[in-house]
Amino acid sequence: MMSGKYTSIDAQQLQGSVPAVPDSRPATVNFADSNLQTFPPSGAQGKITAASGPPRDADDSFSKPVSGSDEPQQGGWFQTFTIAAYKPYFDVDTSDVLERIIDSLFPFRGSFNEKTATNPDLYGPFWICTTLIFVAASIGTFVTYIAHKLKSKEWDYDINLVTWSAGLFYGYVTIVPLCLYVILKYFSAPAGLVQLFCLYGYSLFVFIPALCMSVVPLDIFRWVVAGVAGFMSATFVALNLRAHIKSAGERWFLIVAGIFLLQLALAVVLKLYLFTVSV
Amino acid sequence: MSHSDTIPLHPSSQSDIDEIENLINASVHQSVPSARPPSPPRASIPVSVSVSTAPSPFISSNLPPPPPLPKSSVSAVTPSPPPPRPGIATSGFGPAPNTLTEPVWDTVKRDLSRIVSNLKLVVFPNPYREDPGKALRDWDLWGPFFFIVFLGLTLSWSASVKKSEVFAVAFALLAAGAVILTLNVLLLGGHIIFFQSLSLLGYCLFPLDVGALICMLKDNVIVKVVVVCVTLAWSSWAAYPFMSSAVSPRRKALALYPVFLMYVSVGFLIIAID
Repeated sequence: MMSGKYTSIDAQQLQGSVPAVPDSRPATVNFADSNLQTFPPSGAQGKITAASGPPRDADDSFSKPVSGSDEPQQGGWFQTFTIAAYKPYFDVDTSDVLERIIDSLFPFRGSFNEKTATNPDLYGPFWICTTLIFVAASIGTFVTYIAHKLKSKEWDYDINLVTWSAGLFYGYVTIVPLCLYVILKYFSAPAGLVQLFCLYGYSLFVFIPALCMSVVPLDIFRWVVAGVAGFMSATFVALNLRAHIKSAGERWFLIVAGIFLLQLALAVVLKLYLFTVSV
Repeated sequence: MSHSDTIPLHPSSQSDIDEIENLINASVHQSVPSARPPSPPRASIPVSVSVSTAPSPFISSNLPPPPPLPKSSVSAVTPSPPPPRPGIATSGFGPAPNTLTEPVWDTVKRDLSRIVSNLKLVVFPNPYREDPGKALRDWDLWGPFFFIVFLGLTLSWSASVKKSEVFAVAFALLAAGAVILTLNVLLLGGHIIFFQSLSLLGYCLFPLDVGALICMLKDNVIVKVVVVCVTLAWSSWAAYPFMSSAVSPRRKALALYPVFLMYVSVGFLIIAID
Protein backbone atom coordinates (compact mmCIF):
# COMPACT_ATOMS: atom_id res chain seq x y z
CA MET A 1 0.00 0.00 0.00
CA MET A 2 2.65 2.53 0.97
CA SER A 3 4.89 1.65 -1.94
CA GLY A 4 1.91 1.93 -4.32
CA LYS A 5 1.02 5.43 -3.11
CA TYR A 6 4.61 6.50 -3.35
CA THR A 7 4.78 5.39 -6.95
CA SER A 8 1.59 7.25 -7.93
CA ILE A 9 2.78 10.43 -6.29
CA ASP A 10 6.01 10.30 -8.23
CA ALA A 11 4.11 9.81 -11.50
CA GLN A 12 1.92 12.82 -10.81
CA GLN A 13 4.88 15.00 -10.00
CA LEU A 14 6.60 13.94 -13.18
CA GLN A 15 3.49 14.55 -15.29
CA GLY A 16 2.93 17.94 -13.72
CA SER A 17 6.47 19.17 -14.17
CA VAL A 18 6.88 18.20 -17.82
CA PRO A 19 4.09 20.43 -19.35
CA ALA A 20 4.60 23.18 -16.78
CA VAL A 21 8.06 24.09 -18.02
CA PRO A 22 7.15 24.86 -21.68
CA ASP A 23 3.88 26.52 -20.61
CA SER A 24 5.54 28.81 -18.11
CA ARG A 25 8.25 29.89 -20.52
CA PRO A 26 5.97 31.25 -23.30
CA ALA A 27 3.67 32.65 -20.63
CA THR A 28 6.53 34.55 -19.09
CA VAL A 29 7.72 35.71 -22.47
CA ASN A 30 4.21 36.83 -23.40
CA PHE A 31 3.82 38.72 -20.16
CA ALA A 32 7.16 40.38 -20.60
CA ASP A 33 6.37 41.39 -24.17
CA SER A 34 2.89 42.60 -23.31
CA ASN A 35 4.14 44.56 -20.34
CA LEU A 36 6.96 46.12 -22.29
CA GLN A 37 4.66 46.99 -25.16
CA THR A 38 1.70 48.30 -23.21
CA PHE A 39 3.13 50.30 -20.33
CA PRO A 40 5.52 52.65 -22.10
CA PRO A 41 3.08 53.32 -24.99
CA SER A 42 0.18 53.82 -22.60
CA GLY A 43 2.21 56.08 -20.35
CA ALA A 44 3.75 58.03 -23.17
CA GLN A 45 0.65 58.20 -25.38
CA GLY A 46 -1.82 58.69 -22.56
CA LYS A 47 -1.64 62.44 -22.81
CA ILE A 48 -1.27 62.34 -26.59
CA THR A 49 -4.28 60.06 -26.92
CA ALA A 50 -6.42 62.22 -24.69
CA ALA A 51 -5.31 65.29 -26.57
CA SER A 52 -5.77 63.96 -30.09
CA GLY A 53 -9.02 62.09 -29.48
CA PRO A 54 -11.34 64.36 -31.48
CA PRO A 55 -9.05 64.65 -34.52
CA ARG A 56 -8.76 60.87 -34.69
CA ASP A 57 -12.53 60.50 -34.62
CA ALA A 58 -12.79 63.13 -37.31
CA ASP A 59 -10.19 61.33 -39.41
CA ASP A 60 -12.10 58.08 -39.03
CA SER A 61 -15.34 59.66 -40.18
CA PHE A 62 -13.57 61.17 -43.17
CA SER A 63 -11.84 58.00 -44.26
CA LYS A 64 -14.94 55.83 -44.15
CA PRO A 65 -16.73 57.32 -47.19
CA VAL A 66 -13.54 57.59 -49.20
CA SER A 67 -12.29 54.08 -48.51
CA GLY A 68 -15.58 52.34 -49.06
CA SER A 69 -13.84 49.39 -50.63
CA ASP A 70 -12.56 48.25 -47.24
CA GLU A 71 -15.98 47.81 -45.71
CA PRO A 72 -17.49 45.22 -48.12
CA GLN A 73 -14.81 42.79 -47.01
CA GLN A 74 -16.22 42.78 -43.49
CA GLY A 75 -19.64 41.24 -44.06
CA GLY A 76 -22.43 40.84 -46.54
CA TRP A 77 -25.20 42.38 -44.48
CA PHE A 78 -23.42 45.67 -43.80
CA GLN A 79 -22.36 45.84 -47.43
CA THR A 80 -25.83 47.13 -48.32
CA PHE A 81 -25.10 50.36 -46.46
CA THR A 82 -21.76 51.15 -48.08
CA ILE A 83 -21.23 53.34 -51.11
CA ALA A 84 -18.91 50.86 -52.80
CA ALA A 85 -21.72 48.30 -53.08
CA TYR A 86 -23.57 50.57 -55.51
CA LYS A 87 -20.60 51.76 -57.55
CA PRO A 88 -21.00 49.01 -60.21
CA TYR A 89 -24.43 50.46 -61.00
CA PHE A 90 -22.93 53.90 -61.63
CA ASP A 91 -20.00 52.66 -63.71
CA VAL A 92 -20.99 54.61 -66.84
CA ASP A 93 -19.47 57.47 -68.79
CA THR A 94 -21.14 60.50 -70.30
CA SER A 95 -21.12 58.89 -73.74
CA ASP A 96 -22.81 55.75 -72.39
CA VAL A 97 -25.66 57.68 -70.81
CA LEU A 98 -26.17 59.81 -73.90
CA GLU A 99 -26.22 56.72 -76.11
CA ARG A 100 -28.87 55.10 -73.93
CA ILE A 101 -30.97 58.25 -73.92
CA ILE A 102 -30.85 58.33 -77.72
CA ASP A 103 -31.82 54.65 -77.83
CA SER A 104 -34.86 55.38 -75.68
CA LEU A 105 -36.11 57.79 -78.34
CA PHE A 106 -36.22 55.00 -80.97
CA PRO A 107 -38.59 52.45 -79.44
CA PHE A 108 -38.89 50.14 -82.44
CA ARG A 109 -35.31 48.91 -82.30
CA GLY A 110 -35.94 46.76 -79.24
CA SER A 111 -32.21 46.34 -78.59
CA PHE A 112 -31.90 48.42 -75.41
CA ASN A 113 -32.10 45.36 -73.15
CA GLU A 114 -29.34 43.60 -75.03
CA LYS A 115 -27.05 46.62 -74.97
CA THR A 116 -27.48 47.23 -71.25
CA ALA A 117 -27.44 43.59 -70.17
CA THR A 118 -23.75 43.69 -69.26
CA ASN A 119 -23.78 46.86 -67.16
CA PRO A 120 -27.18 48.31 -66.29
CA ASP A 121 -26.89 51.66 -64.52
CA LEU A 122 -28.97 53.56 -61.98
CA TYR A 123 -27.58 56.99 -62.86
CA GLY A 124 -29.94 57.49 -65.80
CA PRO A 125 -33.12 56.32 -64.04
CA PHE A 126 -32.48 58.43 -60.96
CA TRP A 127 -31.56 61.69 -62.68
CA ILE A 128 -34.18 61.32 -65.41
CA CYS A 129 -36.81 61.05 -62.67
CA THR A 130 -35.32 64.01 -60.85
CA THR A 131 -35.34 66.06 -64.03
CA LEU A 132 -38.94 65.05 -64.67
CA ILE A 133 -39.92 66.19 -61.18
CA PHE A 134 -38.30 69.56 -61.73
CA VAL A 135 -39.78 69.99 -65.21
CA ALA A 136 -43.22 68.92 -64.07
CA ALA A 137 -43.17 71.30 -61.13
CA SER A 138 -41.76 74.30 -62.92
CA ILE A 139 -42.03 74.57 -66.69
CA GLY A 140 -45.80 74.78 -66.97
CA THR A 141 -46.26 76.98 -63.95
CA PHE A 142 -43.50 79.28 -65.14
CA VAL A 143 -45.45 80.18 -68.26
CA THR A 144 -48.56 80.74 -66.18
CA TYR A 145 -46.55 82.90 -63.82
CA ILE A 146 -45.23 85.11 -66.60
CA ALA A 147 -48.70 85.48 -68.11
CA HIS A 148 -50.33 86.37 -64.80
CA LYS A 149 -47.62 88.83 -63.87
CA LEU A 150 -47.85 90.59 -67.21
CA LYS A 151 -51.59 90.97 -66.66
CA SER A 152 -51.05 92.01 -63.02
CA LYS A 153 -53.18 89.14 -61.81
CA GLU A 154 -52.94 87.42 -58.45
CA TRP A 155 -50.91 84.23 -58.72
CA ASP A 156 -49.81 81.70 -56.11
CA TYR A 157 -47.37 78.91 -56.81
CA ASP A 158 -48.62 75.49 -55.79
CA ILE A 159 -45.66 74.10 -53.86
CA ASN A 160 -47.41 70.74 -53.62
CA LEU A 161 -46.60 70.16 -57.29
CA VAL A 162 -43.07 69.29 -56.21
CA THR A 163 -44.04 66.67 -53.65
CA TRP A 164 -46.80 65.24 -55.83
CA SER A 165 -44.65 64.81 -58.92
CA ALA A 166 -41.80 63.44 -56.79
CA GLY A 167 -44.10 60.79 -55.37
CA LEU A 168 -45.46 59.95 -58.82
CA PHE A 169 -42.19 59.54 -60.69
CA TYR A 170 -40.03 58.00 -57.97
CA GLY A 171 -42.93 55.74 -57.02
CA TYR A 172 -43.62 54.63 -60.57
CA VAL A 173 -40.00 53.86 -61.42
CA THR A 174 -39.57 51.99 -58.13
CA ILE A 175 -42.81 50.05 -57.71
CA VAL A 176 -43.55 48.96 -61.29
CA PRO A 177 -40.15 47.29 -61.91
CA LEU A 178 -40.40 45.59 -58.51
CA CYS A 179 -43.83 44.14 -59.34
CA LEU A 180 -42.65 43.11 -62.79
CA TYR A 181 -39.59 41.50 -61.23
CA VAL A 182 -41.82 39.42 -58.94
CA ILE A 183 -44.17 38.47 -61.80
CA LEU A 184 -41.32 37.41 -64.07
CA LYS A 185 -39.83 35.33 -61.27
CA TYR A 186 -43.19 33.65 -60.82
CA PHE A 187 -43.36 32.78 -64.52
CA SER A 188 -39.82 31.36 -64.50
CA ALA A 189 -38.41 34.07 -66.75
CA PRO A 190 -36.32 36.05 -64.28
CA ALA A 191 -34.82 39.39 -65.24
CA GLY A 192 -32.29 41.49 -63.36
CA LEU A 193 -33.92 43.96 -61.00
CA VAL A 194 -31.39 46.68 -61.79
CA GLN A 195 -31.91 46.04 -65.48
CA LEU A 196 -35.64 46.60 -65.07
CA PHE A 197 -34.99 49.83 -63.16
CA CYS A 198 -32.70 50.87 -65.98
CA LEU A 199 -35.26 50.06 -68.67
CA TYR A 200 -38.15 51.87 -66.98
CA GLY A 201 -35.98 54.83 -66.03
CA TYR A 202 -34.83 55.48 -69.57
CA SER A 203 -38.33 54.87 -70.90
CA LEU A 204 -39.48 57.98 -69.04
CA PHE A 205 -36.99 60.23 -70.79
CA VAL A 206 -39.42 60.86 -73.65
CA PHE A 207 -41.76 62.61 -71.20
CA ILE A 208 -39.24 65.39 -70.55
CA PRO A 209 -39.65 67.03 -73.98
CA ALA A 210 -43.35 66.15 -73.84
CA LEU A 211 -43.76 68.15 -70.64
CA CYS A 212 -41.83 71.02 -72.17
CA MET A 213 -44.13 71.03 -75.19
CA SER A 214 -47.17 71.00 -72.90
CA VAL A 215 -46.76 74.72 -72.34
CA VAL A 216 -48.74 75.25 -75.55
CA PRO A 217 -52.24 76.07 -74.27
CA LEU A 218 -54.12 74.07 -76.93
CA ASP A 219 -55.82 71.07 -75.34
CA ILE A 220 -55.87 69.08 -78.59
CA PHE A 221 -52.15 69.61 -79.00
CA ARG A 222 -51.58 68.44 -75.46
CA TRP A 223 -53.52 65.24 -76.01
CA VAL A 224 -51.51 64.59 -79.15
CA VAL A 225 -48.23 65.21 -77.33
CA ALA A 226 -49.24 62.99 -74.41
CA GLY A 227 -50.44 60.28 -76.78
CA VAL A 228 -47.28 60.25 -78.87
CA ALA A 229 -45.02 60.28 -75.82
CA GLY A 230 -47.04 57.56 -74.13
CA PHE A 231 -47.03 55.41 -77.24
CA MET A 232 -43.28 55.79 -77.71
CA SER A 233 -42.60 55.00 -74.06
CA ALA A 234 -44.96 52.03 -73.94
CA THR A 235 -43.62 50.59 -77.19
CA PHE A 236 -40.06 50.99 -75.95
CA VAL A 237 -40.73 49.01 -72.79
CA ALA A 238 -42.96 46.42 -74.44
CA LEU A 239 -40.65 45.60 -77.35
CA ASN A 240 -37.60 45.36 -75.13
CA LEU A 241 -39.34 43.02 -72.73
CA ARG A 242 -41.13 40.96 -75.36
CA ALA A 243 -38.02 39.14 -76.52
CA HIS A 244 -37.23 38.33 -72.91
CA ILE A 245 -40.73 37.31 -71.85
CA LYS A 246 -41.51 35.09 -74.86
CA SER A 247 -39.88 32.22 -73.02
CA ALA A 248 -42.49 32.56 -70.26
CA GLY A 249 -45.04 30.49 -72.19
CA GLU A 250 -48.37 31.46 -73.63
CA ARG A 251 -49.02 34.23 -71.11
CA TRP A 252 -46.25 36.49 -72.38
CA PHE A 253 -48.73 38.44 -74.47
CA LEU A 254 -50.83 39.29 -71.41
CA ILE A 255 -47.76 40.55 -69.57
CA VAL A 256 -46.57 42.66 -72.48
CA ALA A 257 -50.07 44.05 -73.03
CA GLY A 258 -50.31 44.92 -69.34
CA ILE A 259 -46.97 46.70 -69.48
CA PHE A 260 -48.04 48.62 -72.57
CA LEU A 261 -51.34 49.73 -71.04
CA LEU A 262 -49.70 50.73 -67.76
CA GLN A 263 -47.29 53.00 -69.60
CA LEU A 264 -50.20 54.55 -71.50
CA ALA A 265 -51.99 55.05 -68.19
CA LEU A 266 -49.01 57.01 -66.93
CA ALA A 267 -49.22 59.24 -69.99
CA VAL A 268 -52.93 59.83 -69.37
CA VAL A 269 -52.30 60.70 -65.72
CA LEU A 270 -49.63 63.16 -66.77
CA LYS A 271 -52.00 64.72 -69.28
CA LEU A 272 -54.82 65.09 -66.77
CA TYR A 273 -52.81 66.40 -63.82
CA LEU A 274 -49.69 68.08 -65.19
CA PHE A 275 -50.63 69.32 -68.66
CA THR A 276 -53.15 71.69 -67.07
CA VAL A 277 -51.50 75.03 -67.70
CA SER A 278 -54.08 77.69 -68.41
CA VAL A 279 -53.23 81.28 -69.14
CA MET B 1 7.86 33.33 -11.58
CA SER B 2 10.49 35.79 -10.50
CA HIS B 3 10.47 37.40 -13.95
CA SER B 4 6.70 37.67 -14.02
CA ASP B 5 6.72 39.10 -10.54
CA THR B 6 9.33 41.72 -11.28
CA ILE B 7 8.00 42.83 -14.67
CA PRO B 8 4.52 44.02 -13.55
CA LEU B 9 5.98 45.59 -10.43
CA HIS B 10 7.90 48.16 -12.44
CA PRO B 11 4.88 49.58 -14.32
CA SER B 12 2.76 49.51 -11.19
CA SER B 13 5.45 51.30 -9.25
CA GLN B 14 5.84 53.75 -12.12
CA SER B 15 2.10 54.38 -12.14
CA ASP B 16 2.18 54.84 -8.37
CA ILE B 17 5.05 57.31 -8.72
CA ASP B 18 3.09 59.15 -11.41
CA GLU B 19 0.03 59.28 -9.20
CA ILE B 20 2.08 60.58 -6.27
CA GLU B 21 3.63 63.22 -8.50
CA ASN B 22 0.20 64.20 -9.79
CA LEU B 23 -1.10 64.51 -6.25
CA ILE B 24 1.89 66.61 -5.23
CA ASN B 25 1.50 68.84 -8.28
CA ALA B 26 -2.24 69.08 -7.75
CA SER B 27 -1.85 70.07 -4.12
CA VAL B 28 0.90 72.57 -4.89
CA HIS B 29 -0.49 73.92 -8.21
CA GLN B 30 -4.25 74.03 -8.12
CA SER B 31 -4.40 75.44 -11.66
CA VAL B 32 -2.04 72.85 -13.15
CA PRO B 33 -4.54 69.92 -13.53
CA SER B 34 -7.02 72.20 -15.28
CA ALA B 35 -4.31 73.34 -17.67
CA ARG B 36 -3.02 69.87 -18.54
CA PRO B 37 -5.92 68.28 -20.46
CA PRO B 38 -6.70 71.26 -22.73
CA SER B 39 -3.08 72.22 -23.39
CA PRO B 40 -2.40 69.92 -26.41
CA PRO B 41 -5.45 71.01 -28.46
CA ARG B 42 -4.57 74.62 -27.70
CA ALA B 43 -1.02 74.11 -28.96
CA SER B 44 -2.08 75.24 -32.44
CA ILE B 45 -4.58 77.89 -31.39
CA PRO B 46 -2.42 79.88 -28.89
CA VAL B 47 -0.14 81.11 -31.66
CA SER B 48 -2.85 83.31 -33.13
CA VAL B 49 -4.43 83.94 -29.75
CA SER B 50 -1.16 85.15 -28.25
CA VAL B 51 -0.60 87.38 -31.27
CA SER B 52 -4.11 88.77 -31.11
CA THR B 53 -4.14 89.18 -27.33
CA ALA B 54 -0.64 90.57 -26.80
CA PRO B 55 -1.53 92.99 -23.96
CA SER B 56 -3.62 90.48 -21.96
CA PRO B 57 -0.71 88.18 -20.90
CA PHE B 58 1.14 91.24 -19.64
CA ILE B 59 -1.79 92.14 -17.46
CA SER B 60 -2.23 88.56 -16.26
CA SER B 61 1.52 88.15 -15.68
CA ASN B 62 1.46 90.80 -12.98
CA LEU B 63 -0.67 88.65 -10.68
CA PRO B 64 1.01 85.19 -11.05
CA PRO B 65 4.70 86.17 -10.40
CA PRO B 66 4.57 85.88 -6.57
CA PRO B 67 2.88 82.41 -6.47
CA PRO B 68 5.14 80.65 -9.05
CA LEU B 69 8.30 81.41 -7.10
CA PRO B 70 7.50 79.04 -4.21
CA LYS B 71 5.99 76.58 -6.72
CA SER B 72 9.23 76.44 -8.67
CA SER B 73 11.19 75.93 -5.47
CA VAL B 74 8.89 73.08 -4.49
CA SER B 75 9.29 71.55 -7.95
CA ALA B 76 13.05 71.94 -7.61
CA VAL B 77 12.86 69.99 -4.36
CA THR B 78 11.35 67.02 -6.27
CA PRO B 79 14.10 66.09 -8.78
CA SER B 80 12.76 62.82 -10.26
CA PRO B 81 11.29 63.55 -13.76
CA PRO B 82 13.06 66.38 -15.61
CA PRO B 83 11.20 66.05 -19.00
CA PRO B 84 7.59 66.47 -17.75
CA ARG B 85 8.56 69.52 -15.69
CA PRO B 86 9.33 71.87 -18.61
CA GLY B 87 6.27 70.57 -20.48
CA ILE B 88 3.99 71.29 -17.56
CA ALA B 89 5.71 74.58 -16.89
CA THR B 90 5.46 75.75 -20.49
CA SER B 91 1.83 74.69 -20.79
CA GLY B 92 1.01 76.27 -17.45
CA PHE B 93 2.71 79.57 -18.18
CA GLY B 94 1.51 79.62 -21.79
CA PRO B 95 -1.67 81.21 -23.14
CA ALA B 96 -3.80 78.13 -22.27
CA PRO B 97 -5.83 79.84 -19.52
CA ASN B 98 -6.38 82.82 -21.82
CA THR B 99 -7.89 80.61 -24.52
CA LEU B 100 -9.96 78.68 -22.00
CA THR B 101 -11.29 81.81 -20.37
CA GLU B 102 -11.80 83.86 -23.51
CA PRO B 103 -15.20 85.53 -23.93
CA VAL B 104 -17.85 83.78 -26.02
CA TRP B 105 -17.84 86.74 -28.37
CA ASP B 106 -14.19 86.04 -29.25
CA THR B 107 -15.04 82.44 -30.11
CA VAL B 108 -18.01 83.49 -32.23
CA LYS B 109 -15.91 86.15 -33.91
CA ARG B 110 -13.25 83.58 -34.79
CA ASP B 111 -15.86 81.25 -36.29
CA LEU B 112 -17.44 84.08 -38.26
CA SER B 113 -14.07 85.16 -39.64
CA ARG B 114 -13.45 81.59 -40.77
CA ILE B 115 -16.83 81.47 -42.49
CA VAL B 116 -16.08 84.75 -44.26
CA SER B 117 -12.66 83.55 -45.42
CA ASN B 118 -14.11 80.27 -46.69
CA LEU B 119 -16.84 82.19 -48.50
CA LYS B 120 -14.27 84.37 -50.23
CA LEU B 121 -12.30 81.31 -51.30
CA VAL B 122 -15.34 79.57 -52.78
CA VAL B 123 -17.45 82.30 -54.34
CA PHE B 124 -14.85 84.85 -55.43
CA PRO B 125 -11.91 84.34 -57.81
CA ASN B 126 -8.69 83.12 -56.23
CA PRO B 127 -5.69 81.09 -57.43
CA TYR B 128 -6.73 78.00 -55.44
CA ARG B 129 -10.07 77.46 -57.17
CA GLU B 130 -8.86 74.39 -59.05
CA ASP B 131 -7.49 72.68 -55.93
CA PRO B 132 -10.23 71.79 -53.43
CA GLY B 133 -7.66 70.79 -50.85
CA LYS B 134 -6.25 74.31 -50.72
CA ALA B 135 -9.41 76.25 -51.49
CA LEU B 136 -11.39 74.82 -48.61
CA ARG B 137 -8.82 73.28 -46.30
CA ASP B 138 -10.39 74.66 -43.15
CA TRP B 139 -13.96 73.75 -44.07
CA ASP B 140 -16.92 73.98 -41.72
CA LEU B 141 -20.64 73.24 -41.78
CA TRP B 142 -21.84 76.42 -40.06
CA GLY B 143 -21.71 78.43 -43.27
CA PRO B 144 -23.72 75.96 -45.37
CA PHE B 145 -26.26 75.52 -42.58
CA PHE B 146 -26.71 79.28 -42.29
CA PHE B 147 -27.10 79.74 -46.06
CA ILE B 148 -29.63 76.92 -46.36
CA VAL B 149 -31.75 78.18 -43.47
CA PHE B 150 -31.47 81.76 -44.73
CA LEU B 151 -32.67 80.77 -48.19
CA GLY B 152 -35.52 78.71 -46.75
CA LEU B 153 -36.61 81.59 -44.53
CA THR B 154 -36.36 84.11 -47.36
CA LEU B 155 -38.53 81.99 -49.64
CA SER B 156 -40.94 81.35 -46.79
CA TRP B 157 -41.29 85.08 -46.09
CA SER B 158 -41.77 85.78 -49.78
CA ALA B 159 -44.61 83.28 -50.06
CA SER B 160 -48.10 84.66 -49.55
CA VAL B 161 -49.65 81.23 -48.96
CA LYS B 162 -48.39 77.93 -47.54
CA LYS B 163 -45.36 79.46 -45.84
CA SER B 164 -44.46 76.38 -43.83
CA GLU B 165 -44.72 74.09 -46.86
CA VAL B 166 -42.51 76.41 -48.89
CA PHE B 167 -39.87 76.35 -46.17
CA ALA B 168 -40.08 72.56 -45.90
CA VAL B 169 -39.67 72.01 -49.64
CA ALA B 170 -36.84 74.55 -49.94
CA PHE B 171 -34.96 73.18 -46.94
CA ALA B 172 -35.45 69.56 -48.07
CA LEU B 173 -34.37 70.41 -51.61
CA LEU B 174 -31.18 72.11 -50.45
CA ALA B 175 -30.17 69.79 -47.61
CA ALA B 176 -31.00 66.51 -49.33
CA GLY B 177 -29.74 67.90 -52.62
CA ALA B 178 -26.26 68.53 -51.27
CA VAL B 179 -26.09 65.03 -49.80
CA ILE B 180 -27.35 63.43 -53.02
CA LEU B 181 -24.92 65.40 -55.15
CA THR B 182 -22.02 64.31 -52.96
CA LEU B 183 -23.13 60.68 -53.07
CA ASN B 184 -23.50 60.99 -56.83
CA VAL B 185 -19.86 62.02 -57.18
CA LEU B 186 -18.72 59.24 -54.86
CA LEU B 187 -20.74 56.65 -56.79
CA LEU B 188 -19.24 57.85 -60.07
CA GLY B 189 -15.82 56.97 -58.66
CA GLY B 190 -14.88 60.50 -57.68
CA HIS B 191 -12.38 61.31 -54.96
CA ILE B 192 -13.76 63.93 -52.61
CA ILE B 193 -14.15 64.27 -48.88
CA PHE B 194 -17.80 63.89 -47.97
CA PHE B 195 -18.23 66.81 -45.60
CA GLN B 196 -15.93 69.07 -47.57
CA SER B 197 -18.20 68.60 -50.56
CA LEU B 198 -21.27 69.39 -48.47
CA SER B 199 -19.51 72.49 -47.20
CA LEU B 200 -18.55 73.70 -50.65
CA LEU B 201 -22.01 73.15 -52.14
CA GLY B 202 -23.47 75.08 -49.24
CA TYR B 203 -21.12 78.01 -49.74
CA CYS B 204 -22.05 78.08 -53.44
CA LEU B 205 -25.58 78.98 -52.37
CA PHE B 206 -24.44 82.43 -51.26
CA PRO B 207 -25.13 84.12 -54.63
CA LEU B 208 -28.60 82.58 -54.73
CA ASP B 209 -29.20 83.83 -51.20
CA VAL B 210 -28.40 87.34 -52.36
CA GLY B 211 -30.66 86.86 -55.36
CA ALA B 212 -33.51 85.63 -53.16
CA LEU B 213 -33.13 88.65 -50.89
CA ILE B 214 -33.25 91.05 -53.84
CA CYS B 215 -36.29 89.28 -55.30
CA MET B 216 -38.06 89.50 -51.96
CA LEU B 217 -37.58 93.26 -51.91
CA LYS B 218 -38.36 93.83 -55.59
CA ASP B 219 -41.62 92.55 -57.06
CA ASN B 220 -40.87 93.23 -60.73
CA VAL B 221 -40.92 90.11 -62.92
CA ILE B 222 -38.19 91.20 -65.31
CA VAL B 223 -35.90 92.28 -62.48
CA LYS B 224 -36.48 88.95 -60.79
CA VAL B 225 -35.62 86.93 -63.88
CA VAL B 226 -32.46 88.93 -64.54
CA VAL B 227 -31.27 88.75 -60.93
CA VAL B 228 -31.90 85.01 -60.69
CA CYS B 229 -30.12 84.34 -64.00
CA VAL B 230 -27.06 86.28 -62.84
CA THR B 231 -26.89 84.63 -59.41
CA LEU B 232 -27.58 81.21 -60.92
CA ALA B 233 -24.66 81.62 -63.31
CA TRP B 234 -22.49 82.79 -60.42
CA SER B 235 -23.33 79.79 -58.24
CA SER B 236 -22.72 77.39 -61.12
CA TRP B 237 -19.41 79.10 -61.86
CA ALA B 238 -18.39 78.72 -58.22
CA ALA B 239 -19.23 74.99 -58.08
CA TYR B 240 -17.80 74.09 -61.50
CA PRO B 241 -14.06 73.68 -60.74
CA PHE B 242 -14.62 71.62 -57.62
CA MET B 243 -17.03 69.16 -59.23
CA SER B 244 -15.17 68.91 -62.51
CA SER B 245 -11.87 68.10 -60.81
CA ALA B 246 -13.45 65.45 -58.57
CA VAL B 247 -14.29 62.93 -61.30
CA SER B 248 -12.54 61.66 -64.42
CA PRO B 249 -12.99 63.75 -67.58
CA ARG B 250 -15.14 61.08 -69.18
CA ARG B 251 -17.75 61.55 -66.47
CA LYS B 252 -17.51 65.28 -65.95
CA ALA B 253 -20.92 65.98 -67.44
CA LEU B 254 -22.52 63.28 -65.30
CA ALA B 255 -21.23 64.99 -62.15
CA LEU B 256 -21.94 68.56 -63.24
CA TYR B 257 -25.48 68.10 -64.56
CA PRO B 258 -27.08 67.35 -61.15
CA VAL B 259 -25.39 70.39 -59.60
CA PHE B 260 -26.73 72.61 -62.35
CA LEU B 261 -30.18 71.03 -62.00
CA MET B 262 -30.27 71.75 -58.27
CA TYR B 263 -29.30 75.40 -58.73
CA VAL B 264 -31.84 75.81 -61.53
CA SER B 265 -34.50 74.36 -59.23
CA VAL B 266 -33.56 76.81 -56.50
CA GLY B 267 -33.58 79.66 -59.01
CA PHE B 268 -37.03 78.65 -60.21
CA LEU B 269 -38.35 78.56 -56.65
CA ILE B 270 -36.97 82.05 -56.08
CA ILE B 271 -38.80 83.38 -59.14
CA ALA B 272 -42.05 81.49 -58.71
CA ILE B 273 -42.69 81.89 -54.99
CA ASP B 274 -44.42 85.20 -54.62
